[in-house]
Amino acid sequence: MNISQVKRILRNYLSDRASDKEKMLIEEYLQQAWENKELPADADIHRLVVLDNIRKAIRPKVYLRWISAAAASILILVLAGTSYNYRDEITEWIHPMPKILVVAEKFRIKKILLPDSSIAILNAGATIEYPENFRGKFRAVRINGEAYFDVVPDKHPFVIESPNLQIKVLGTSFVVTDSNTTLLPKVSVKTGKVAVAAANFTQQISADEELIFDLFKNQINIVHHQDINTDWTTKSLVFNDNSLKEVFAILTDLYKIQIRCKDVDITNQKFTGAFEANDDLDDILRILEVSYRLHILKNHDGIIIK
Amino acid sequence: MQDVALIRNGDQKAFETCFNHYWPSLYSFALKILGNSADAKDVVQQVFISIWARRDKLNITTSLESYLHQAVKYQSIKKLQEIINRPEDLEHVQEFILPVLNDIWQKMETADIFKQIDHQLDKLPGKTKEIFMLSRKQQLSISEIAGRLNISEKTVRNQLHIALKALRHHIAVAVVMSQLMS
Repeated sequence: MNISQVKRILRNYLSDRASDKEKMLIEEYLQQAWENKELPADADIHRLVVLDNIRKAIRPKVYLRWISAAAASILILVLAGTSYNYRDEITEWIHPMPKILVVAEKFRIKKILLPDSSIAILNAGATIEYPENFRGKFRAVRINGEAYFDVVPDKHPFVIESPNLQIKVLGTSFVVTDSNTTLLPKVSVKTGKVAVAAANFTQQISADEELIFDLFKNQINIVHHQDINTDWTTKSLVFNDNSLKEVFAILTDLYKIQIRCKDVDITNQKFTGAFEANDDLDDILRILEVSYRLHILKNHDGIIIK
Repeated sequence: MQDVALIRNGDQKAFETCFNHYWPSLYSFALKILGNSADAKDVVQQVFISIWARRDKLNITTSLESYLHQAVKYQSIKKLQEIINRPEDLEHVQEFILPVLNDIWQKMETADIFKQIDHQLDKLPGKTKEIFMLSRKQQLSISEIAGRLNISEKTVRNQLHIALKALRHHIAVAVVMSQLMS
């Protein structure tokens, strides 16, 4: 049987013109698929993606037709005065912009291009939530953890909400370190000017300055002439005294390749170091090979380390 | 049936619960039929979106489970047709889908031949058929058959000859088929 025969059989089957034998072929194929189906390990991730797509597709469109004409006209009169100021909030309320959530897992550094071409780089463990498109007066994102921002200048201020701070900028580069667990949230400015606000203060800082908010004493400290450390932003993976076992596990996950190492003396060794964003798997393996005098063999179904 | 009623009433929560519940079996089913995750996701997604869109007219006579199973089956076949027409998927089709179909097709052909042989056997006189069965299916020798049926070896040989002559064509095909398949 060749492709054109299969095409014909499928066409017949779908238009209900298939012979008994053709029907039997397709039904047997389906039956076998049903009996031999197996759930891949990543099925649940796909479930979340599809669920999200379905939600977007079935989101009700809001029409005002359920409001009677009288009620509508009163509403319009009331809204007319105030709605101009709140038009963005109203739009957001009626038709919320879908949000994107990105997580930088353990050991991973993630670079994200935001809808306005600004760049956000998440340090390991950080998360960012931003809209599919920026709309309204502000470009607003929400973060938790450490993140570097390089904001493209625009008349719409760029606003970052972190657990303890609110940061407003026009176009600069800076690092925000704030999470649900930290006691010392801080903002370090590389270029330009940044306005930082929290519950009881608003403060502007400029290049090479660092604002540290001491949650315990409830006071802010500003460090001048600070050399802002952004070395990590060019990395893709960062390890700090982690076992090679963990390193191999993350490489397996990242490059979808099997790494086998039976020797516990090797896998228990600790590794501290970072890999550049443009290092590929071979570069990484070469570094490990040299540092630990390993023998790394590549074959068709994976990598063997001795 | 409870679920169907809730969905018909526009209960999005019940709808999502159903989706989560049936996802593993429906997704893995579509994945096995189509062989790639993107198309399998697409099929299941389409089925659920379409059910929601038609929820007030939803008429499910069987269980929701078998309704979903049928819908995924039908949409997967449609998707399979799409895949087969996609030039970039040619290699995938030739490597993973065609061999499975061919295997089934050949088993069906073989089964066909054996059915025809049985059919021909039924047309033979009773005694001839009995002797043939003893010889071929129970693997008895000519003298054993003669002893068991209390007839001469010559008669056994003659009857076998008649049977083989009648079945010659079909057996030849079966032999060729079995050689092709081994």
